Amino acid sequence: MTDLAQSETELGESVSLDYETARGRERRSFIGTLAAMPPWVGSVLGIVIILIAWQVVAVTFFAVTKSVPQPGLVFVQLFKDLFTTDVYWNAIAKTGGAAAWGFLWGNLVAFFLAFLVLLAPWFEGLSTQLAVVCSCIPLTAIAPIVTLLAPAGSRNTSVILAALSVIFTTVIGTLLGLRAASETQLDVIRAYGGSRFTQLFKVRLIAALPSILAALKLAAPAAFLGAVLGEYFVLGVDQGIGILLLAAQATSASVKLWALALICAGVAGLAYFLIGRIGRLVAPWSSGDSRAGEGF
Amino acid sequence: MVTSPSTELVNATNDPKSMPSLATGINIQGLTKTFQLGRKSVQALSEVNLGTKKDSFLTLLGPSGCGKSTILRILAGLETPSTGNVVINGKSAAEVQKSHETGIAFQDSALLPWRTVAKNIRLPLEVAGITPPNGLIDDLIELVGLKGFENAKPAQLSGGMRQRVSIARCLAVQPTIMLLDEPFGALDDMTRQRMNVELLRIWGEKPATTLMVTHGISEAVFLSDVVAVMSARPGRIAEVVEIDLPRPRLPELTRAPEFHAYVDRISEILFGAHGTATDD
Repeated sequence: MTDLAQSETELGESVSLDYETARGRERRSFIGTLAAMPPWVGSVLGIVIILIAWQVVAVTFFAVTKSVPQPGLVFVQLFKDLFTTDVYWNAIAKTGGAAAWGFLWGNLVAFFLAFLVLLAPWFEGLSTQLAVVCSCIPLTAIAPIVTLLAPAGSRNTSVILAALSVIFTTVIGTLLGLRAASETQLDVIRAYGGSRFTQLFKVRLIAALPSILAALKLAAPAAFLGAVLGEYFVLGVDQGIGILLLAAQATSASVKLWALALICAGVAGLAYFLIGRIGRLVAPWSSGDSRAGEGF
Repeated sequence: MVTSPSTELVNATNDPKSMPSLATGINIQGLTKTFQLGRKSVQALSEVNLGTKKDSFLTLLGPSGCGKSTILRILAGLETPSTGNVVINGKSAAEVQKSHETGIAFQDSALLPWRTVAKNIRLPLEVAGITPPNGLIDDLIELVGLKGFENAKPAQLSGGMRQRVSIARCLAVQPTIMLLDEPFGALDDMTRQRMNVELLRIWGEKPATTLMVTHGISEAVFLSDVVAVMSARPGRIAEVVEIDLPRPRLPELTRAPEFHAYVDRISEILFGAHGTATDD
């Protein structure tokens, strides 16, 4: 290496070093200010950024077609309809009701499949396979069949699609949970003369709770979205989020569509949040929860 | 020059069949255990014969995989022997399990995270269907030095404290037999030494026929009446050493020449006279 080249490298290194330290310090201080703020600042910041991006996209790319309306318009429509009419509330109640029934039945089936494994371990393959099938069959193919089988005006399609949407997560979550107890914990019970039932009731079922509740938390929004999808197929039913979506689409009411999309997200998010809270209340010891034991 | 400790056995025997008077506590005769792993079968124990007197403290010492824990698990009724039989305090393992006289503690404290300290200690009694006499649980908590932590959850305790809870849980059934599977194996050295002193104090207050499994030579000498040194693959008793040191034993004992003589002798059995490890 020549002297010149060497001095050049040194110069380059020192320059890049200075550059990096300066930038590094700047970056650190920026992250430092962020880290010092309470956690909700981050969520608020995220929402503000999304709203700004939404506004920008609405007034630039979709200024003519208006298929992405400005957020302001959507919120005005949303709040006006929510507080002056009961159309949305009725729809939420009807769809939510179907979702709740689907959630109930789907989880009952899932628990049954998972608890079969307790009776005989070789059921595990069968249960997981059935759960995978439930999550793999296209709901849009099942829906017309169920609609044909059901009497006109019934919400069975919604209920069954909601049920199918929850089976997989609950089966997997429950199976995982039933394996959560450590061998030593079970050995302790057995060494003191406890039977398999004692092991089940004193240890395994309770140890399974955090995992089951985590699965239910994921299943709740899935059930709601399944119920909405079901309403695209039901016959003789004129109330529900899915029906409103279809109507808004048919009349190209983009503002209404976006308001409905926000409602769907809101209901699904609320279901997730509520079951998460219940989970924290029922199983406060569950790992990864720093606020364990505080309840609500 | 330290004199070699006596080799004559007066509290234990490796031939319980012909010396039943030395096997009133633990009595293991012709014990073998073979595990089936798919098509392969692995012999974990070959012909283990061992006897100790009632209420004596026996430690099984040996390289990992020598079957120490298997013996303990057979005594606890968690495994069944392939051949041979075990009798503890005159009862079979199944009888002992049914009469709820065994206290057991593992390396993993295995506390239930949703139960408080007091409720974890009460667990064996619930399993056994026994209503604890008034004040028993509080006494146990005090005995293991956890007063004030009755309502703490395991997640709020340190490793040493959790192990204390598991010792208290082991004592809850007021056991006549205690089985300890490396109870302090996961703790740091300092905590472990302190816990050993505590264990000895507790054991002195509530004597029971005890079997402990460990890797620690000085720990074994410090705690035990009898140390059974095992060799591996297949596991068998290499030699039974009686520890003739006065009780109560205090930490100062670990600096005494007699103590070191025992440690050296056991190391010699384990690693051979020239200090080479023979782990196979």
